[in-house]
Amino acid sequence: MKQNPSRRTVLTGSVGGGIGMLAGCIGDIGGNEPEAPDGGDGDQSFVIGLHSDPADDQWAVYENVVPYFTQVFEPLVAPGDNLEPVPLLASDWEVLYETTWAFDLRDGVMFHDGTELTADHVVESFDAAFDHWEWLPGWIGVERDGVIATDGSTVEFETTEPFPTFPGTISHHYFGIEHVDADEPPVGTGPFQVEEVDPGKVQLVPNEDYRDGSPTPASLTFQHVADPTTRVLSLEDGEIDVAHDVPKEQANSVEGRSETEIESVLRNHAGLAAVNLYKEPTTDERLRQALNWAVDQEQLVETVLDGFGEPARGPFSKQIPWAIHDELPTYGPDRDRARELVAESSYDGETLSILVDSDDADDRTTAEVLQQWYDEIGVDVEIVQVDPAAWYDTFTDGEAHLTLVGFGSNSASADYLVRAMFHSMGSDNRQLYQADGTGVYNPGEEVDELIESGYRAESVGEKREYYGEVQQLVVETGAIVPLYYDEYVLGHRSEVEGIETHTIDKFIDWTDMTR
Amino acid sequence: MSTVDEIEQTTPWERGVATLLTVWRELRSNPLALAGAIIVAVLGVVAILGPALISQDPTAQQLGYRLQSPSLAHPFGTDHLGRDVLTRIVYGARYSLGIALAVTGIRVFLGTVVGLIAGYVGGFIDEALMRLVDIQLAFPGLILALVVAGVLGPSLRNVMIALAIVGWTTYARVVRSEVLSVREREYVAAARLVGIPTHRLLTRHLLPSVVNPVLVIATLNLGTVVLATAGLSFIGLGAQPPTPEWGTMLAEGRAYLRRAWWIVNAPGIAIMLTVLGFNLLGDGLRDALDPTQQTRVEEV
Repeated sequence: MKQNPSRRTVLTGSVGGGIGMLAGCIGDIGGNEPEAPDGGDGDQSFVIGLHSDPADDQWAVYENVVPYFTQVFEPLVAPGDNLEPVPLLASDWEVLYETTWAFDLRDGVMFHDGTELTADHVVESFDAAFDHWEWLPGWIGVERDGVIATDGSTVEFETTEPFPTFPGTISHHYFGIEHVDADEPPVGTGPFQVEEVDPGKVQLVPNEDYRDGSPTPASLTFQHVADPTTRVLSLEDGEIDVAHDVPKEQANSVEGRSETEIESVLRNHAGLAAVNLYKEPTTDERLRQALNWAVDQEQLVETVLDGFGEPARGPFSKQIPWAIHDELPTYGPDRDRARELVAESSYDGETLSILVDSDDADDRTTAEVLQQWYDEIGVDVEIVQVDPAAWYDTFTDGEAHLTLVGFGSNSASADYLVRAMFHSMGSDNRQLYQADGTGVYNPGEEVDELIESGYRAESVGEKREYYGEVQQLVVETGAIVPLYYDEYVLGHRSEVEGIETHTIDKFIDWTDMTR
Repeated sequence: MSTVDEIEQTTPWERGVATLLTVWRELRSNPLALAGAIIVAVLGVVAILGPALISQDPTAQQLGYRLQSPSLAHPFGTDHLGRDVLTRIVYGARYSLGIALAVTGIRVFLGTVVGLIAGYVGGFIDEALMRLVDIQLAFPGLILALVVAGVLGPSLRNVMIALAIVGWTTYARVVRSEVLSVREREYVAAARLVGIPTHRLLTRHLLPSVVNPVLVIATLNLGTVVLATAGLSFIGLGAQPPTPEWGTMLAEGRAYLRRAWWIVNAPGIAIMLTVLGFNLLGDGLRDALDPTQQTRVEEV
């Protein structure tokens, strides 16, 4: 007779199986097992653990080699240390007419395959990008046929309207120049060239003919290690030499070990709560201001970010040149004042919703802390976690009263941020503005006009004037609750030196890395 | 006295007492089952009386006391927001056990009704209902629960609905097979002949015969429902912060695993003990009430 296994057998099997599965999972988190570097003192081969996949087929235009971090492809312009556009493959640029930009190429730049860089290569590279990302014209203000090689070393860009921040806008990895017709792509001009691409892994070797001299590392392997704890453990075990994006709550323990160190850098990224200006009861400015008076940004940085960040006053990181952090008012914290404002407002005990991306642990914790503070001022709040795939649509549909968002720029130009966030036709507000003339956290016509003026402004000073007024308005009217300016944490083995960090982490320079 | 009369004259109370005596004898002779019963009893007491005995608010944050290791003031330590982990575990027991009982209750009700109707009526109705059961069993239970909870949106109530929807089929099958075997017995036929109304036939003659296997499955099921609820909350589909549900606590503490092990270990052990308790008890009940070992462990 066939007999079912006893409960004891099932239990023993389950426990054994569970332990086996756990062991398997720990080894498997992130999809790729980091390979131990050789590690000797003289060995200049390095393994860098990234939270994102360096061989992502979303970047098919670069043969799946993600240009972030890897330094294989270089754009014409790079973001400088203070996020100003600086020449990279271009030596210079100028505005010929209002909408025509001429970029002169640096002399003697060679691709990895020995071909000399020409203006035609730049046009072909931009054309490939336009073909791959059809939405590019809306971002950089140039149509597909607007990139022209006027001679061997000059490229002209025709923008659809005057766009003074065009050079800064293209100082982005999306516009890295590649030799599209190379025999063995991918081929760029950067200090490292591709040796091998495997799923989740890109292996690079130095470009020995690089114009500034051959980089120090004998090889660089970028490895996808998705799970943050596994990334840290791999660093501590010496399986990788550098761990990008060390979780802040683990940073101090990494720093506390003799064999590992961390470096933290203030990014051009800010975390904030976007307050829905068109959904009752946050339509009431006094309630919105009360929500601001209740928040203690300093404590938030200490608790949620473990001190790796700075308390925010405005919607943009103080690293952005036209951000006016120092001139913005601070609200508090003053919960007595907040309670008074709540009492004066039309708030009548409704439950406000805070929308959170369910994959973002920091945002979830932030929401819980806000919930407690708002409870103290008599405002009832519920946290709504939504899957990352549905989060943005839920936000732009205006379903929540508050949404935790984080914004930063990967280029020298952050103009598109202010437009996306606060302009009625910006991507965050456009849907509702077109549908019923509202939006999410766009204060209205006055701010729209200021943003458009700032967009056309030619100097940082002028931009600061217009965008500064926007920041002032959104803070004073409580369209946002500023939370923090974020830092990223890079962990590395103690013997590793020479990593040159950057405000934009994707521009970290590995060329002088040694051990 | 005829068999029908004997059964008619046996009260539910008497049958219940007889079942309890059988269970008690089994528990006394089976230490593992007894251990399971004790675990379940302790958890039950904690869930019912615990919150009344603890003065702290499970959601009250004390940011100045975050990540405190276990001490006399906080026997299970504090979490990343300075909340007392023991308090949250105690309140969490109420959520976990409450949901497990509610979900299992709904499953038992649905499955029993469907199984009784299918087994007693037979014919086309039986075919239709059993094909419905087959279709549902063709989907992996947890995946189906994930889909249902995902479509309904994240909340504990929706998790309960999702788990109840996917788990009733086992009861329907067991009840149907019991009814099919019992309805052909002479005393049931005799009861029909003497004109006992259908509803009385179902409740007095057929239903009692399915109580034991259903009770065994339900006990085993309680553990899996606790586990599934915690799993769905862990991935954000169940309880929402700051609800002190064990799966949510695991999810929140995961990032601090290396720095504050107690945040995840406490709810982890609580879940493990609960599942273990229900499984051991269910095993004992099966030995006592279903010696032919017909019931199987539910997957979800």
